[in-house]
Amino acid sequence: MKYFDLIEKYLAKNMSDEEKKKFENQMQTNSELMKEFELHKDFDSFLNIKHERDAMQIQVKQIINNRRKSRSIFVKRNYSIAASIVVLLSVSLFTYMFLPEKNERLYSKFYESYEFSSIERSTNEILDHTDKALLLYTDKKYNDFITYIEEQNLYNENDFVLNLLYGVSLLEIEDAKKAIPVFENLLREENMYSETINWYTALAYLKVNDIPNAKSKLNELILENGYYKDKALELMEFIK
Amino acid sequence: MKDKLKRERTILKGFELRDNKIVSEFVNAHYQSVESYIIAKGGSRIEVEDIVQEALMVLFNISKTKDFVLESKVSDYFFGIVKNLFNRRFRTEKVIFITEAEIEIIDDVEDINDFIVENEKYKLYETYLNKIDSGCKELFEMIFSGMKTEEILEKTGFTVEYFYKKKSLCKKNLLEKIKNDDKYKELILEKRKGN
Repeated sequence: MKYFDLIEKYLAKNMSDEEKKKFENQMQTNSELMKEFELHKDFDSFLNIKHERDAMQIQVKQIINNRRKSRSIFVKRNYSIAASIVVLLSVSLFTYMFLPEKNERLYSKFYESYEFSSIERSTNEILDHTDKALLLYTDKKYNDFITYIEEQNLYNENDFVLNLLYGVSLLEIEDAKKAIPVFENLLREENMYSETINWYTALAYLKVNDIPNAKSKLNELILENGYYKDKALELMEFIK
Repeated sequence: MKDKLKRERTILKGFELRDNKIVSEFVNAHYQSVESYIIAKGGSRIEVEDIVQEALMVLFNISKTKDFVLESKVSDYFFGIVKNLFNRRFRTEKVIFITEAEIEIIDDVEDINDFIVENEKYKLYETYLNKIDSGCKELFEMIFSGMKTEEILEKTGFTVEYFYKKKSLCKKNLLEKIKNDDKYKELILEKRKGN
């Protein structure tokens, strides 16, 4: 700082008018002096507000810290809410994941194949399509039975037994979704198999986790006070 | 508009006087917008705090500038400062995406750059003040705290001559170091380019 003392004197207003004028003229032509003067003056300005700057810096930090703290409290509160939501979601997820499993277990517990063996086997007998289909069923060849029924268009015939077995075969191959409309179609008209069809329909709804419809079918069976009443009551207890 | 600027002048006055209520309200009103902007640009929450603190200090320096004429809302200056600071901070550290519109905004507040450069210089001066010899540091602290020369002389037992000599030597030494600092040279160049 070659010109330190000179600049210090000028800034302290300790120069005579003549010295001041000379100094100002020198600044116009001397870039080194100008640079030093700028720094010196700037540093003095800084020193003038240094004390206040320090105070302001502390103040600003406090404001930001307070904001962070209040935010943290807000976040903690939100965490509590979020935690509650997580618990609720977990319960829902648990229910979603495990309730179907429970329904599946109930289905397995209550499901039994529909026994059908009225076809007398005879090598000499000429069997029609229906009989051939029924034989496939009694042989527990459910997939073949379904294919046969569909290929021969037997499903459309007004045969309650065949259609009941078609629905049950669909349950056997785990296609409850497809079985439901088959059963529901059969239930449109009262028939001697209605109670049995209702029972299998209830199980089909249970299988697809449609509990309201399953309950509805079970209630019908309970009110019927028939063969399936006890089974329906027992199952109802599980899915309440 | 006149009323609006009156309100704005009150806010700036609040900064000048370090009015905690005004400064706090200002921070609470605009912090989130700054945060959204910086986070969207890939900054962190710590960087948000740093930039907000620095921007508030620049506003404080502006408020202390006697010939400063407020022509817009204080928040406009604040956001201009924030964007400029963010741009300065990350232009060498991270690749950021700045839209043309944002470049225009930054250009519009080019005069703000002088205040930012000034703040950068002040930070540099602070760094050097913390590095100087402990005797000098002690002397400067007494001067910064607003103690009168007589009080300092009484407290230290210095003679008047020694006090001025010591003060002069400390300041000269400090300015010499700052003058040769590369960062300072860069800031001086930047300010000249701006002008």
